[in-house]
Amino acid sequence: MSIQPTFLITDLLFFALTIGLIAFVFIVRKRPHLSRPWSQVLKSTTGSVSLMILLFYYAIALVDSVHFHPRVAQATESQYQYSSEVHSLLDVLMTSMRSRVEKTFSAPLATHSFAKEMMQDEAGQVQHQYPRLNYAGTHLTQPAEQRTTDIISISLQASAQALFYWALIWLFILWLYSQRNHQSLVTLLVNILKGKTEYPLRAIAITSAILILLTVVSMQLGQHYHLFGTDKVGQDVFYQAVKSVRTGILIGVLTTLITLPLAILLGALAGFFRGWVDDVIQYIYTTLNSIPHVLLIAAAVLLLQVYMSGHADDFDSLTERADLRLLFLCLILGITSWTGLCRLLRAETFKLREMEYIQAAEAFGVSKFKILMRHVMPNFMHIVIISVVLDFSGLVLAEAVLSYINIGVDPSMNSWGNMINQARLEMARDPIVWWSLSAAFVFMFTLVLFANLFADVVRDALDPRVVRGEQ
Amino acid sequence: MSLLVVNGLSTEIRGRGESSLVVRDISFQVERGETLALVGESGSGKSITALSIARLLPPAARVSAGQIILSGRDLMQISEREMRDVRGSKIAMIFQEPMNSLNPVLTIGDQISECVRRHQSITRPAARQQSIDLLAAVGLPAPQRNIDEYPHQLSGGMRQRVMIAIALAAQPDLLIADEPTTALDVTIQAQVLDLLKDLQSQFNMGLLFITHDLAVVKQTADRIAVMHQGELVEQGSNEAFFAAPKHAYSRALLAAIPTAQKRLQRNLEQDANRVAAVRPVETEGLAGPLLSVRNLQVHFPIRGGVFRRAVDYVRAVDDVSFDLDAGKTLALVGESGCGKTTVGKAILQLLKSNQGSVQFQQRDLQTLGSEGLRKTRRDLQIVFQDPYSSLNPRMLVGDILEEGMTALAVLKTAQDRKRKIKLLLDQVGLPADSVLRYPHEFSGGQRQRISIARALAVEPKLIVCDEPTSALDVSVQAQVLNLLIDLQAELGMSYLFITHDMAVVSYLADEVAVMYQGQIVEQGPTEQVLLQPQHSYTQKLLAAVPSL
Repeated sequence: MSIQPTFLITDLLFFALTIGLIAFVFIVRKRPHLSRPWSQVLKSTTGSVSLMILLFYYAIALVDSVHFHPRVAQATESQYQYSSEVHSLLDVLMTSMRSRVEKTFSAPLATHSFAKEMMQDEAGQVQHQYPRLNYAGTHLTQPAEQRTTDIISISLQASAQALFYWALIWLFILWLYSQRNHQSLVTLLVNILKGKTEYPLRAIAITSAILILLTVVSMQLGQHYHLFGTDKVGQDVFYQAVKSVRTGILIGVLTTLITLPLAILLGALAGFFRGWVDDVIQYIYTTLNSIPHVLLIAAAVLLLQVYMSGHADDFDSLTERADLRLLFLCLILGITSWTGLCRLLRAETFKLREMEYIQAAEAFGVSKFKILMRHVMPNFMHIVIISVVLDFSGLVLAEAVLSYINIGVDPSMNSWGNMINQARLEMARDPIVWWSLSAAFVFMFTLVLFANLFADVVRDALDPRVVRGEQ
Repeated sequence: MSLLVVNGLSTEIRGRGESSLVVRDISFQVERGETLALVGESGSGKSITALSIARLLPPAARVSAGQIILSGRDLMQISEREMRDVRGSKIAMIFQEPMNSLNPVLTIGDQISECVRRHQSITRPAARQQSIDLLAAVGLPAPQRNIDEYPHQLSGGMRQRVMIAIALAAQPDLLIADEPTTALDVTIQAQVLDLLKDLQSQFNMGLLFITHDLAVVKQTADRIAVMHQGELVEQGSNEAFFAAPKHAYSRALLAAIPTAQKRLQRNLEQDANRVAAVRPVETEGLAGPLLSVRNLQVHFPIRGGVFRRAVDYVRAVDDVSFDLDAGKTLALVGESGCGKTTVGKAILQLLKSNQGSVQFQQRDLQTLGSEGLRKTRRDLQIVFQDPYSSLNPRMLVGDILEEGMTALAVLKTAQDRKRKIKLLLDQVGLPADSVLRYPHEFSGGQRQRISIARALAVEPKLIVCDEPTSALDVSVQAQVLNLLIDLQAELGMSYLFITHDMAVVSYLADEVAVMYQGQIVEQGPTEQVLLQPQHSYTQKLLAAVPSL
């Protein structure tokens, strides 16, 4: 074996969640009353485009969650030596960007360093000049003249390649589609171009073209240049921004995973049983809500740090430490953010409890637990889904804010918050170092924007108050 | 010249992509001092017609053709600004729900004088005085005090009177009343109808009266227009219409109203149909009645203070006793808030009673304990009023019907249960493929059939029917009532039929118990109670019922 797979805790949770999501899709597809609003989501252009972009982000995070120790040297016949470093599949795909570390700052797509250095020229004279970068644009003999044409030619080649892949994939999809619907390929194509298909295939095709184009072009350019420049220690900023996707997504979804059981269980119990159960649960969440969340999070993260420095032997690698901290952050964010949803669900259960079908079930002697599972929970699930999708973007942003004040994820872990935090010190430089901040901003903005757009569409589709007009 | 002429009016509602015509080419006139009743079942387009006249249609709807001429002016041609003056000063509207039509955070006086001052330039004190006069005119008991009260301090009937006062504030030429009494109790309905008639002759208004209730129509209307699926199928004077309705739909509508006579007729037909059919009433050697309720009391605590202790009680059910024999129907009649639904729930042990006993087959349900109660639940079932909230929207009809059988272990194997479900659907007249459908795919009447099938699934001996037809249209109501009667003849169970509708009582009850403020004031065989009421409340109630 050339590698030794390792599973971080967050990886396992993330995989479990992915399997859960796939199972959810299968369950929904079988039930018409559940799948109806979702097909409405997919039929809206905004809905399917934002879902595609979210899935793209999700795929990056998933690829980045397959971790292993690479092999360094062969000690004996049967025994391999593995690096203590942990790499992911994404690191392998982006090896060139990960490994080629410059000395310090360089601007996006630059061939020369951002800072002047003392250098000896051929004549032996010491000059104060911008040195060439070690890895970017090394194939150019006259970088000043050749750079622009080179970048354009690489981009064009990559674009052609990307469009070729895209056309190939879509031809296959269309062929499958036309086979299934007994439609000729040409009429299908015409319908798509006119935008007359049931699902917004035209918009989906355009989005996929843009996504493939961006991926291929940035990967190709990344082979020869630093697409978003490098940071203070010479690391590729584009690589950092892509690596941060996993952190952002994990914070968003794992926190939800912790919130949901608490909110659903306590909300349903409080609303259903009322009386002292309701009182206890209400006291818990009002108390929790009255503690400033930032304080609670800061205290929890500090506690963990003390624990980790006391038990340094328990962790094999830096990555594992960072991973535990991420998980802990999700946990504490989850604990502070379940109260809102819980309150909503409690109110909804109050309402549902008075529904006559619940009394009919009581008249049958159906047990309380079964009534909760079968009659109460399925009827407030739309609220859960709406609030999960709405909260996701808020959590991604929360990570950035927390890392900014140093109580977020581990500083060694790539995250948009850390990128912004580090870049903030360079904002005062002249000329300004803008690329770290911009890269983090663009990546985060895209994710949050489309998560919000998606949330809007989902709410419109699932909210019974909106749906009613249609029935 | 007529006050209002509606000429070839069509209104469409735009959905996704296509639009549908909900009002199709209707024409009618209303004269000054005349009442035109627009009659139809839900979805017939009568409310949309009213909204079209006032130009208050929801955004999705649009008048696509026709003229609406009020005192010689075409309302379709004038600007929205001019229309605002027409509304209120020329046309006033009263809606169905008196709860929702008044602003809860403004006093009655504020809401009336706002209208008064909009149409006349008078001072505040003068407007106040005029508001008090209006409240007196609509018969509020203490106008001087009522004017400073908030809507929640008034009862439903009083709120509807306030609505009428607001509508009258600008002395309109035309009053549109959209089901003004549907949400009210029958005694209050009678008062409001009388009031409307008085005021109409006093102000010489035209009244467009929209309703689904033919009995109300007969009492109030001068002329009648029947709407069916967006079309005006018949128009004529009151006497002519009830003497000989011309259109088939009008005849069907009249035929669907339950009365005691129709019951007799039906019984005769049925007896002729199944001469040999023996009614399978099994008394099983039981000496006493199937259900016997003695001195039942249910009190709801009013909580107050820091520790939410009960400071007082609402006596929802106060000392109620009655017997119900196997295979019989007892109707529990009363107006809203009299405690009749509470009695039903207390019998099923869905609510805890404070005192008294509920004996079912000689066993006291309150002392049975949870296990014994579970066994008895098989014999006691309930059918609810609202066909929309009584079925879980997330469950398939098959699962809904199966739930009771699984919970009470009626049939052990899945196959037996499947067969039973098929039989049940057949019994209530639904197609067998309903099993794999969701409740929202069915109409109100069909949903009520599903509810009945759900109750029947465990083969109960007693079904509490809590206003099972009051949310349904009259033609659908007739079908559901007939279904209930047929099922009783076939399966021999008893009904405790909770209702406010005297017509329904006379159609299917063997015995009647009249409830008033938590107590039964009169009880006896249906004919005796309906024809020779002894208690003053029963007399009052029966006098208020509009009859055909």
